[in-house]
Amino acid sequence: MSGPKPARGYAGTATGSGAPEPSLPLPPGQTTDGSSQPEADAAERSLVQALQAGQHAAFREAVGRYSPQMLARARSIVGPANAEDMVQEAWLAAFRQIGGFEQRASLGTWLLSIVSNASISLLRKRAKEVSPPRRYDDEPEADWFDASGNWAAPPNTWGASSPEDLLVADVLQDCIDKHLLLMSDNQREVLIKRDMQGESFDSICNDMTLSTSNVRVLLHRGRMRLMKMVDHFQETGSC
Amino acid sequence: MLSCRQITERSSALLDGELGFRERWAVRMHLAMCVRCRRFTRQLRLLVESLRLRSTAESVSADFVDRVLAALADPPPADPDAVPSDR
Repeated sequence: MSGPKPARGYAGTATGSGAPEPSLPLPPGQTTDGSSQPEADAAERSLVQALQAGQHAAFREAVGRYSPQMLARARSIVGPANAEDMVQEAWLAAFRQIGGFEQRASLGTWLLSIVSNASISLLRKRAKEVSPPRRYDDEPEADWFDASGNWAAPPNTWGASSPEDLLVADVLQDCIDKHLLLMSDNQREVLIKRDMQGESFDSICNDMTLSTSNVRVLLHRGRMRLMKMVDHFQETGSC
Repeated sequence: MLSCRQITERSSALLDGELGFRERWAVRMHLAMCVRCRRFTRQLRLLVESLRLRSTAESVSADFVDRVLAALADPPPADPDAVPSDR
């Protein structure tokens, strides 16, 4: 299978219709989802058309514009070491399939879903190599409480007072990556979709064909596992 | 009165805004009186916010665009399952 051949001659996203310059790069952190600005929509439509026509300059513009968000998404799932590879793989897949892209979702949303799928599937493969048999119990919080349901020992006080503080330790980031691998495929995917990507319960249930209650249980237990890990990390500096 | 264990069992739903009024009220009552559960729910929120923070967009290295375009010119074999439809 071969991708569309890059052709020369694409001059930004200008369409010749007198529309304002639409090819401003998005600032880091700004998503392309849900944009209701007609100029932005028109700009994206013309960018997609140029991509579908195989215009070289459009490829360059798209890669430059959307890669920062894609990289952030990949990094949050597979960690920094493999993030760029995932984005590169996603671009290759996207360019191969751009002809069939019908713009029902925004280009940014489509690209993010490609990089998410690639990253989640890499984790799934890795988890198979690293972690059988699973060493997680079903209820990570079971030993926190005494028979009457009170704390057996008070929860540790973490040193961090903000999310930034918490993530400042690279070792803890590695621990999060490692513990994601120890989760079941479904648990990991639910946690990534909800807590890293901010997806709604409805969209997660639809995507994964799981019931809402199932998703909530998976999410809660995944979070409890990470709580337990961070707790241990705060105490010992390792996980 | 809910036990501490029941509070942790409801902590995710509390964070996600998924508790009904009565249950939310019962959890709040417990939290008002229990420093341990307050600490636990505060730290859970911290953890979840930090997971979200990992997804913040970042800049790409200067030669990244060139490398992607170079790979595009010489693509590896396709994975037919890699791309979802844009329904």
